[in-house]
Amino acid sequence: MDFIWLVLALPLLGSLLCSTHYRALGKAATGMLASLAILGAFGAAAATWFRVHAAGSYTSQLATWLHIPGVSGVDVAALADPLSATMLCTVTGVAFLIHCFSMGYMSDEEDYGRFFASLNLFVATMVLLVMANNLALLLVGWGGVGYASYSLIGFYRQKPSAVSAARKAFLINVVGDVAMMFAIFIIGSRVGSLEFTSFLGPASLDRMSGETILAAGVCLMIAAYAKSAQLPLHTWLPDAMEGPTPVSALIHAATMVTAGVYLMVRCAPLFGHGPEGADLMVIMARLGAITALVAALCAVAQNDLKRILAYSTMSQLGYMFMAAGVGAYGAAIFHLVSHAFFKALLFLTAGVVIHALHGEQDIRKMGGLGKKMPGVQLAFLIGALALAGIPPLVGFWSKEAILLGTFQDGNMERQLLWGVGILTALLTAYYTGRAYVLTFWAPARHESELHLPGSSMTWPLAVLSMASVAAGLAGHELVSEVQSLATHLPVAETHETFGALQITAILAGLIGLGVAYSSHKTGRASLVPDSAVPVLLGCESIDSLSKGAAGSFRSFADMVAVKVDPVISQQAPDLIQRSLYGTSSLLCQLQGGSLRLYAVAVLASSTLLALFVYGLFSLSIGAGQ
Amino acid sequence: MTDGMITLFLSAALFAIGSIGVAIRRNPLIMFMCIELMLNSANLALATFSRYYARIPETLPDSIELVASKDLGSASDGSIFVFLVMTIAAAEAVVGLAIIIAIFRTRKQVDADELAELKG
Repeated sequence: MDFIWLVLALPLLGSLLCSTHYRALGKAATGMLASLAILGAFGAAAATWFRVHAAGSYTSQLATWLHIPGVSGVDVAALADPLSATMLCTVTGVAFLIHCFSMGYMSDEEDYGRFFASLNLFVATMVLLVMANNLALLLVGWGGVGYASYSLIGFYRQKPSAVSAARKAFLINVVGDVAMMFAIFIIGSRVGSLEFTSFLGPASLDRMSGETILAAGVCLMIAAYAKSAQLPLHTWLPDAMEGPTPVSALIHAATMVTAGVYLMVRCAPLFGHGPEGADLMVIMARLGAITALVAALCAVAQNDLKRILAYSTMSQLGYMFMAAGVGAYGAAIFHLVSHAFFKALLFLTAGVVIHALHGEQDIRKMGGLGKKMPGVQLAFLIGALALAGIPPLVGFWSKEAILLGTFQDGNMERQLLWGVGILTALLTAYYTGRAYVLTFWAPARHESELHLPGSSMTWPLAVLSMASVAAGLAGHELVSEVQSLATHLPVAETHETFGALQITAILAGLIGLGVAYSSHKTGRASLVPDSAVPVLLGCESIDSLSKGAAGSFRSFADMVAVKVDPVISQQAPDLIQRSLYGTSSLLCQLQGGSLRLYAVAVLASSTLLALFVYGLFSLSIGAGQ
Repeated sequence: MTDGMITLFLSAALFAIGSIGVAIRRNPLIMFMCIELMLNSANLALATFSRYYARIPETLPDSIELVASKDLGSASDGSIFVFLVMTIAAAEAVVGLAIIIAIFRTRKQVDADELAELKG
């Protein structure tokens, strides 16, 4: 038993206590309990991190889960290595701040206990996902994260849009779960082990045929794409904004969408093996770049503050997949961690703003909040600058790490990917700046009294802001530190020089911000002409595509309901009833009440019986002779 | 034809008369008498078989062994059954006559075809 299990046990225990003892504890104690559970988990995660850095990676096996002939490694076992320890610290750390924030944000809610129980469960399943040392245990966390997100996105269960968003998120996640199961079946049957260190070892990979690597890799990629909202399985993410804002922060920053990137980095040796793996990586990089660009375009056309942030998450995840696709795994994880901090900051700040405006999410109806909430404005500014990739904030270093890892002299495709990345960075800076300017600087377009945040909601913002700034100031050291996360992987060349590439990226960010400031400071809602909006919303067209596909199933179901169902559900029972009635009325006539008829019946049947017995008897005598 | 066959034919004839009587007469008393007739025809058959089987081992040649001699039972089985049947017949007559008298007391008539209240 190792203290890494505390990282899992404490949130689980917190979830259990919150759901069962909520009435006895009361609101304040429930929130405190849930937050303390996560804080304890963070402590254990930090201890694990230090131990891993001092003594190297280790595996802690609690039990064997399943004994399957021919397949080993289906254990309840945790793998502590730099990658998982970093992820655990990020997940629990950000989740702790979000929990503290939620205590203030959700204080008016009726279902406080259910909220914190689900929130703790969310963290617990994500922790299980990250620390699992084999694919089977990872799948438990993988599915659990899907369930927990379902229950949290649909938290306002009296709201039909929230319920349908929750269902959508769950369904698309199940697509990923099924793909994951196929990956497990393929790897389990071909390699005979589901343990990461075993099946990702060079010996196992050499035994795998090209087709196996291709099939397993494709399944893993589908799973990761569904979880991380990459094209074309991204449609659930913007809708998931129906959940409470802390949940959005948790989904986007720590516990959900990063799982796909983690899986890709964890299974990196598989993708780095042979020509098939290389093909998959090319696809991953291209799709990542496309997702980054398309999502950024979509974010430009949004007016809902939370949806802008949702699309920006999708876009940043596209960056991470692009980095994983070009082999810059360290950069992908670095961006994941830094994104977790500044996106949590942005979401929580957005939560404060929405809270202050009594649930208003449309940035066209905000404005002028900068003077009334200067602290919140500063926090949002730090988050926005980090997202836009402006030095010295942490977002600059992590985005630079990805862009530099992508760029390669004399490689046309890599340069094209880099160009897409820069274009996305420009768009990112623009839409982030637009959201910021319209929310805080533009003339106020609301009358109601502001609902100012309490201290429990503001100090997590301060911590996250400071983390973004502090990590940014130490950014250069961090870049080389995170490369060690993936020492066993092909490390991308580190460009030490501060050259034209970085300057281009910074300029892209500054131009985007400048355009946003100059065009929106007067409160102008949108720079994009209305006719261009449908083009920008291209990635939402997947929704209508799936609606069309669902429509045919729906009409088929309607046809069945109208034509087939009445026959089966009404006429068939009717037929049975009538036949039974007819038989019984026939039989009733035998009970005619005539004593003499009964006597004849008894005589006739006993005679027949006697003849029958006589026949049997003579047969058996005949057989005997 | 052995002399045993005559009594068996007599028994069959009595059974037939009794059963036809039960089937066609409507007076319960007559039907009762017919049932007694059937029971007694069965008694006659039992007594006949009893006598018949008591003689089998004597009439058979030595070389022939009865395959199922154990299943045939002893010679007195039939006679014992006769007593059982007579007991049952007496008990049945007591119960049946009591029912008929009770019906007659309440309805002043005992036509079997009219007694059909329990028909389905």
